[in-house]
Amino acid sequence: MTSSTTRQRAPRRRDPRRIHGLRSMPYLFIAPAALYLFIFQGIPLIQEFRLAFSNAKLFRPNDFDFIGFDNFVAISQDDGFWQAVSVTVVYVVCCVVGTVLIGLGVALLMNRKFKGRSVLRSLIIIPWAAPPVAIALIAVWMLDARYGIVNRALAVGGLAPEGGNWLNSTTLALPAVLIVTIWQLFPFTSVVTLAALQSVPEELNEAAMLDGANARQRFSAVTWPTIRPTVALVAILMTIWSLRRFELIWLMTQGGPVGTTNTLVIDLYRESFIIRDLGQGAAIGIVGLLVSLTITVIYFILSNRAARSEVTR
Amino acid sequence: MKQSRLGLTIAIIVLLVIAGLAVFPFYWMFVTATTPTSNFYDENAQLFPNLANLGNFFGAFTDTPMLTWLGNSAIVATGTMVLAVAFGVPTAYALSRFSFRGKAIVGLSLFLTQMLPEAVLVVPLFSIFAALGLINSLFGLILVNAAFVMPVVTLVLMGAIDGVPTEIDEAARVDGATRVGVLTRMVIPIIAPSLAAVAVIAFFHGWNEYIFALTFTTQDSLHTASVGLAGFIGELTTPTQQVMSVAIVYTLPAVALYLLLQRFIVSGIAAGSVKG
Amino acid sequence: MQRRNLLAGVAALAAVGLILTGCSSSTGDGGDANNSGMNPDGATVISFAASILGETQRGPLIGAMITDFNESQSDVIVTPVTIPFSSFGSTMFTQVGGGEGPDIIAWDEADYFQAMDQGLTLPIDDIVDEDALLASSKNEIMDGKRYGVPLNVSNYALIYNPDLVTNVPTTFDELVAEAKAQTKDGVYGFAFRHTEAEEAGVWSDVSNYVYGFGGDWAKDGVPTLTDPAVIEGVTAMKELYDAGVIPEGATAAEYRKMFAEGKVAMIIDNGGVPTVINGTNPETPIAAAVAPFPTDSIGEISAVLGINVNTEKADAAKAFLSWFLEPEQQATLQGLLGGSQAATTVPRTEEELATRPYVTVFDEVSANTKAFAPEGLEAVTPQFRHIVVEQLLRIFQGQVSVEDGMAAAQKEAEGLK
Repeated sequence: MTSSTTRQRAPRRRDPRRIHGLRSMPYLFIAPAALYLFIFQGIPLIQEFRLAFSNAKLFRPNDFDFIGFDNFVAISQDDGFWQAVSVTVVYVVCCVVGTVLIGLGVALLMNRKFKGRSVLRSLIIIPWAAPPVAIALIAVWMLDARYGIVNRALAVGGLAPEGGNWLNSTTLALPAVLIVTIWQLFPFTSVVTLAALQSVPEELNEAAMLDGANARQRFSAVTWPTIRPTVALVAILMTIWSLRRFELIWLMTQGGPVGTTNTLVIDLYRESFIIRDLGQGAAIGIVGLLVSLTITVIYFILSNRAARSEVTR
Repeated sequence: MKQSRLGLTIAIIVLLVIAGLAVFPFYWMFVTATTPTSNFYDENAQLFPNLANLGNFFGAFTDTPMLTWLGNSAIVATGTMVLAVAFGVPTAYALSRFSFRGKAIVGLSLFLTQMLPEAVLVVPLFSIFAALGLINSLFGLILVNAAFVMPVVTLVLMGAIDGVPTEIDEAARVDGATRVGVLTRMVIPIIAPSLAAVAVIAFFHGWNEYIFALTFTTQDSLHTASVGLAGFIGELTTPTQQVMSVAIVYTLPAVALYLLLQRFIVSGIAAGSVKG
Repeated sequence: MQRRNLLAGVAALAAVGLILTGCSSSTGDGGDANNSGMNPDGATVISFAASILGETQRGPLIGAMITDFNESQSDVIVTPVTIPFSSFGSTMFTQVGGGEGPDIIAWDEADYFQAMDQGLTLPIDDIVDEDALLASSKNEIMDGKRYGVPLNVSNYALIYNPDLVTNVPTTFDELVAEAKAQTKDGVYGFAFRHTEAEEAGVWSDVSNYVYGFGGDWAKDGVPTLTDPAVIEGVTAMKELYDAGVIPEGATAAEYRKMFAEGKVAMIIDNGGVPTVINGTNPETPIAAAVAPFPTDSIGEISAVLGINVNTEKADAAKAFLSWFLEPEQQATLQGLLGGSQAATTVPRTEEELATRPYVTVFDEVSANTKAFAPEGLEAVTPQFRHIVVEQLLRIFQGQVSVEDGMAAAQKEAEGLK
């Protein structure tokens, strides 16, 4: 994606990678998908915008009046909403940093040849393949205050939290949810980063070693520049995806206790289906989308700038 | 390449620990499923599976509608996979090979759809589905799941097709192939690993999906395994061992399929992302 | 050549896949409200949703009753629909709001009030004999018309394990003392719901304390959350929470299973629970006593049967409900419900009194029961409930005092319309 936007900015040159065919052909190829997405994502999104400015309720989703910005005013005055915003920020930042760092670390460790490497790689990938509903179930049981294996293991080292509470503790619930999320997602970042690592030109590395560079210098001069675009892409994907995470948090804590794991998605689901105020739920959803959009735009601007500076280097 | 033996040993140990942590919860599911009830609410409950209690698994098959649920999940997942790839391939080809007005917008929009949480769209979608008669229909679930995973499929495939030199296209066209022919006969076979990768991604999406399956189907006979399994939460008449058994059987196909195809998946995703 | 075969194979697989999915959407379709659902024999097919259908003990028994109905006549066929208990209310409102939904719905009482108020259930005066109903069945009447009838009514009382309890408490202080005495060796003296995931359950539990100490959630549509009796009730519950006698973080599913394994000594719970506990473990000794609160007031929880306003087969639905309310069916129902009660007054059989002597306790308190709803504000019970539980959980976590928490709840509740 970075390369396609770069091409738009560069002076128009005959790009050998592009074929110019019939005028209408590309549209023919794309039209079915575009129509399909419009029906199943575009139209509902438009409706969601309408709902955000209405007083619709769950039991009469189509029979409502428009009330202007009242919903947005209401949520901006609600402490619970701002708590959800801060929880979301913490959750997303920790998720991204956690998965990228762990993924990078695992990829670096795996980037050597040794027997059984592919077996290890298969094992490490497994969490990503598991369904979130199943993971939520086993996580809740493992974190059980009385009989959970996590507390039993921690007790051996005297590290079990007082009372044993994880998911019912206002301080430990968010870390617990984060650990489970990162556990599920780090295989993705590991695999993608490892693939990028394996495309680092070996000659450059050897040349650097011959020049007497140590591991850290080699990493910053040779490895990192090559994998940086991939890591950036993975980071932005993790950011957007963690803003969408629902099942794990909902089935583990439903946003509790007292809102300490209440991300914007959880909040809007509760507002729509438990409090049954569709208007406010939609308003929260729109805010969440704006946050996502802002982050994505910033990413594109930054990556464009970086790509351009690379081109001119 | 010279490596210190010590460095390698440490790396392997750390990786083993990480692999152990990755796999442990599944092991624990198995232990929980085979723990006899007498030992269950005990602070010293067994740490190893008790193979004498494998009967709990059979109980899960007979006492719960698990087979129906799994069948539904399989149908939804397969349909999602087929539909998402069917829509994604031509779109990815067009985005990779053609330049046309609005291309950047299309690419950006696809990326933007990744930001849409299902929870935000589920209520308006319900109205649309009700109007189209797609409530309580596995086909409806397939339609909506494929819509949500298709952008990912397209973007990854686009990267993969970018990696196929256009000379191949040119050569085939010189031989008289149509554009579609080029796509199907020349390009697709080359990007087969990426196709496998996105097929698995799409399959997982349908297999794991929860919110839509929950909201758009009412009857237990149409529930997917994710909804069925989640339904055990807060329900006290099913023993936890059975619930864990269902969880294991639900997890296994996804993990097994993934392990089987992981060589392709890794290279497929890498091809898509490194180019991007 | 090979590639062509591969592609052909993939295409064939895809075709099969799509055909399969097309087939599956036409089967397994249990006749939703807006489906024609006509059986080739001319019988009308209607759907009936109730979370009790998912219980492993009582579910199949009610399913058997439905089968009896289907076989007893050839005009109407009822299809049971199982929906997970935890999402029953939200699923039903989404469906009904969207113009769909099963023909007959067994609403949780709190959701029923909102459904009735919003006109989502049809009047059924013509099939209900008011005199035969339990006294507590008056809740389903609005503006003189009846819109629903209970499937089952479950009253609350103290349920305990006689092997673990030495002094059956008759006052609240005795309850706290006994709970503390029995919390040892991996056993907990008491248990109640206190987590975000069980909002409805927390509401039921706290309501019992408030009612038991003489309070009410509202009077004539005005919230009374800062009344001394309400504060007393909430404080009492907080006392138990702080006493370290309950398994923290445990959901009702977990602690009821623990009770079945002899790990919990006492709970204040509803009449359907002993049956379920016995189903989990037939060996568990169970006894019941009146809840040890200062007043006789206690709560009841019902599942209320209502006919979906979106249905196109109201007559068929009414036919089923009439059959269901006949004395013979009510007796069968009562027999399988255990400590819960059917909508009409049915005398207990000798056999039941012998095998389940605790049922008399639940029956006895029937006259003193109140629904878990704020008086005059029943239609917004779900929203009221959310406000109260949110503050209650903060109180439990020690973030706010009982008085401040309830004051905050009062302010928010007054804003409800």
